[in-house]
Amino acid sequence: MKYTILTVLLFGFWSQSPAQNAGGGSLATISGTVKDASNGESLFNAAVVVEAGGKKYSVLTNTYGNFSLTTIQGPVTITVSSLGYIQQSGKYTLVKSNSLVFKLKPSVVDLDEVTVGVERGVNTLKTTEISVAQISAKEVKKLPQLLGEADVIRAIRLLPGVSSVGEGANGFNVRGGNSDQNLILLDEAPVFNSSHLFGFFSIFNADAVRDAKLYKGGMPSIYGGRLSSVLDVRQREGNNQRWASSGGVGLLSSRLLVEGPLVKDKASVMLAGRRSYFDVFLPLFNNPELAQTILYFYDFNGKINAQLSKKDRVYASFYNGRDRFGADDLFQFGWGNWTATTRWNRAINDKLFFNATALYSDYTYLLGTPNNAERQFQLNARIQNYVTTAAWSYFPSTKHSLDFGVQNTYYVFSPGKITGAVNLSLNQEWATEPSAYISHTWKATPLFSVTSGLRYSAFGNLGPRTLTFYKPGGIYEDSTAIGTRTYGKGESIRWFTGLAGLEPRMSANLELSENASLKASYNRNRQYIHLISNNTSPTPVNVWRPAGAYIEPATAQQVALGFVQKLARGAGMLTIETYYKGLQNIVDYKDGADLIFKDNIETELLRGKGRAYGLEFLLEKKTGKFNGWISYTLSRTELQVDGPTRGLSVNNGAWYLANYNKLHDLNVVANYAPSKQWDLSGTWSYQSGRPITYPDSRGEFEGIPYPIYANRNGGLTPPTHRLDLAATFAFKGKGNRKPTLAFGVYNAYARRNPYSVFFRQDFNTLQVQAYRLSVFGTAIPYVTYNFSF
Amino acid sequence: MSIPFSSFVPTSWKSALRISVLLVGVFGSLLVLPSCQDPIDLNLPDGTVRPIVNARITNADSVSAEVFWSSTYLNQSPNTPVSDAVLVLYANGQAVDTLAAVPSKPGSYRGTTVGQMGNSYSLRIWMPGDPKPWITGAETIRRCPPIDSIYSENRPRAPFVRPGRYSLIHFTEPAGKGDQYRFRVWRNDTLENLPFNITFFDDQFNDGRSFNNVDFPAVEFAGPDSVGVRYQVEVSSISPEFFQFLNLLRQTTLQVGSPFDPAPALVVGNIWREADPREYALGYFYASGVSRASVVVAP
Repeated sequence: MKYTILTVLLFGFWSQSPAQNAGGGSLATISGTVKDASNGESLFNAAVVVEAGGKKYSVLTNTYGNFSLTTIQGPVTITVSSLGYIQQSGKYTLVKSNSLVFKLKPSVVDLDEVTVGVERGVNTLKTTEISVAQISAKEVKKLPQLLGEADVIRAIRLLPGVSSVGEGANGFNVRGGNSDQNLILLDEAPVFNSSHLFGFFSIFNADAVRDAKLYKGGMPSIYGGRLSSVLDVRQREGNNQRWASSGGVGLLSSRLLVEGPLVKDKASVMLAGRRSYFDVFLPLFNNPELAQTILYFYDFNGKINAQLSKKDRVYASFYNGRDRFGADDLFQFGWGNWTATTRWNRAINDKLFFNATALYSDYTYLLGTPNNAERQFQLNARIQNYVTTAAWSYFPSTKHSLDFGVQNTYYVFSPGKITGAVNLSLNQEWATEPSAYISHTWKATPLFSVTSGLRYSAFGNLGPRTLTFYKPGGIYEDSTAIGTRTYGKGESIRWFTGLAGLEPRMSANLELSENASLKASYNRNRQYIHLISNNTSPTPVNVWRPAGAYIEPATAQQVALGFVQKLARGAGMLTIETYYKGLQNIVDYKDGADLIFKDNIETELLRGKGRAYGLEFLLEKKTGKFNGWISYTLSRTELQVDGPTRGLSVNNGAWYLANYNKLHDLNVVANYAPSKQWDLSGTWSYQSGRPITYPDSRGEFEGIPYPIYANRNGGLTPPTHRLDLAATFAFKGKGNRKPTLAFGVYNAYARRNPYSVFFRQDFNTLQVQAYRLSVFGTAIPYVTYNFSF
Repeated sequence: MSIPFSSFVPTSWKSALRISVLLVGVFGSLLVLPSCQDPIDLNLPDGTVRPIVNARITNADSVSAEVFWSSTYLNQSPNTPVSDAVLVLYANGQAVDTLAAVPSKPGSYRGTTVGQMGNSYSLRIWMPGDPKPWITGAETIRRCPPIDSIYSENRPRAPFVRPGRYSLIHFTEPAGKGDQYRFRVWRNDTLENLPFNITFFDDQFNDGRSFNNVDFPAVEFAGPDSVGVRYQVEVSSISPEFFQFLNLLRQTTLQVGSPFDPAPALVVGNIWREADPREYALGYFYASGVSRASVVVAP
């Protein structure tokens, strides 16, 4: 029965003729692109509403700004809108299919409430999207910043369902998922470490970013490979109208972006760079050891795109960023990402679009002594991804749209190689992950629509590799190892295939009225690679390892229900969502797991399951002089590891709280623009304490007292709260090219929020003192001068 | 050049890597942002009271043990010694010795059996008033290389190096992977016994190599020091399980207070209830081969 329902949802539209969709009239297709008039960049998620024959049909532009909508011939009114742009509306007489380009002008001031109400209504009330949040670089830049760095990831942590283990922590947690369960994409390329400076800043240079979209649930079937979320960050395409530059000088770093047309209206380029300069100031401390310290990060972003013909467009983009840290002649440490994406978009006809993508992603870290050191050593680790995708979007009628495609990801894992005084290397691992997907959106009635999708993925762990074998019984320890086997190049070590690779996805929207809708979603996700980290928050030296002979793929199933209510003439929106997520085969760690430079990593791992549930509220007002949002999340995330022995269990197999569990998470974001020159904003956040392991008794070994942590995550840190303030002053200038001075203070009332609580014992008196570690111990002011030409 | 010993394991590249990562994290976060640590008041739960048994046998010393009851973590009194426990030593599965309480030192026990290379030893323990015995894992005395030489040398001031006299040893790790070692140091006949003195290493990265300043750097174990200070150094071979125990002990007592520390972990040794392996006692019983040498810091 369930397969019948799935078949109907996926392919049911084939039984309906286009004529039925349009109510019996002759049909024509309006397709095209929506662009930013000021720079020619494509606009994603712009709403195209067509009014024909007394009915309204709407569609959103895809990632590349394209849309297609089939309607009846005759007089039509087309309205195109996008947040932050002036709405465009016009009457047309449709006598045949047409391809149109709409160029929207950016609004200098905030749009009036009614205009935005239309656009947001389409986006939120009519689509099947649920548990999705989109944030533009413009919005990110308005928020108060740490040391003046506008940060996409810090901004999304202000949304419901998104949290982190603490201030300054690397990564983020979505609806009870660990931070390695987030698929972070930059122009479709996966990013394996999204942080600079150990997690204080993200790698995304807000100047080079167009927008970021976070899927917390209801994930489209094109996305796979992670359990909990997708953060899809897109770089700007570059201005194809005129040469321009922008940048900023701040306390932490400076940045510069240059963009312009290679061929006006046809091809453009964008190049951006950013570098921090802590190290420049270190000699001022008059300390010879500090003076020798190396400490900086840099980013380069680039993108080029060209319209080859009316139907063909190509893109190429890259990112290169790296952190460097060290002492001149003692040690050096560096890590960074490389990504490169090439993409070809083709409009095969006015209903069928094709997209071919090839991309490369590479994360490395290096730790060791300088090359000229006596008996030098260097440890390198790396993960590389090669991804190829072919994707199609088909819009056969106003009621149906279809997305389908195939993808293959090839992985190379190099978990560690030491060179220098000793030469050692951990086993490299190779893997391939082929997948295919299909997704069908069906506007079944004017008020009800459903998106049903299916993704299938398999995973092969391949040689060459020397693999350790263990005694039967599933206990992987050095003491149970019985031998090894060497696999040849490309030889299969283990394939994960079969029905377990099916990932059904579904989301539905029911409009209760013009101002309210009810949403629901279900998704199953599968994850074949794991970040091996038993730190509170991942560090740059944690490595990714694939599923294989002893590590199983993890799976998650999530159901979510949502209610959306438009408030007060469309100026505000209330979203309430609830979710339940079940997790299987998640990776946990033995007590004291030794994860550094470990070949047989399975000897340090545990396998468990998890459950997460919560309730999220988002009240937002994105228009007018006073705007912002309030988000609140009530949630609980629990894990269970119940192995055959005590050492292979956690808390003797009982459920325990995940260390990123936050019962209450409240964020208030407010922006106020009292004049055209001033923009003021503030955020206030409150989170209840996170689970932490407290000692409950004292052991002793040969005179050394030590704490006994018998109940993992049995305690809670004190709650945290923080106020951040910002102001931006715009100097006089032309249009959007006004220089601005942004200044503010992070942690305005100098709250010492606990990142963790730890204990120190005086080994002579046995006196114990608890300490609170605060990452930000004081108020941190910033000032940044931004310019554009 | 030598590898500094005083603050972390000297010859373990892996430990050096681990500590380097820690240093990088802590140093980095301190440099970058104004983090801080404040004392706070906290109530902690009272955990289960468990036996603590720390016992050892070496090829140079007879079997000995200390037995206590654990206490709550905030208790400032020493753990309560247990004087009327019964401890029986097994060699290769056969009971060979019953440890006798040392009257002058409550909680201490000593037997007469001296360990022999290659033999496997374990203990069975009865705590007073508890008929259900506890048992230890079996530990085998493994090969231990001799200390080739011990000496002190002068070092000038350099970045991250304080000037003065440093003490070092030369030794050669025997060929064949799978060896683990522990170092202990006595300064003027007093064991240096704080958590950062817990030093151990394995031969994963230096199997069969000589720490003699030719092949690999000599192992620095102390310094800078005044002339006349006397040191005794002990190198002992240990089992992988004891290595892991020491690693966890060190991690739990030292790697705290930074955002990059591993999550706190339960330190459990190789002692559990015979009838229920999930019920554990604290402490560790280990068997080792040992080599010792001493030096007086010379001008």
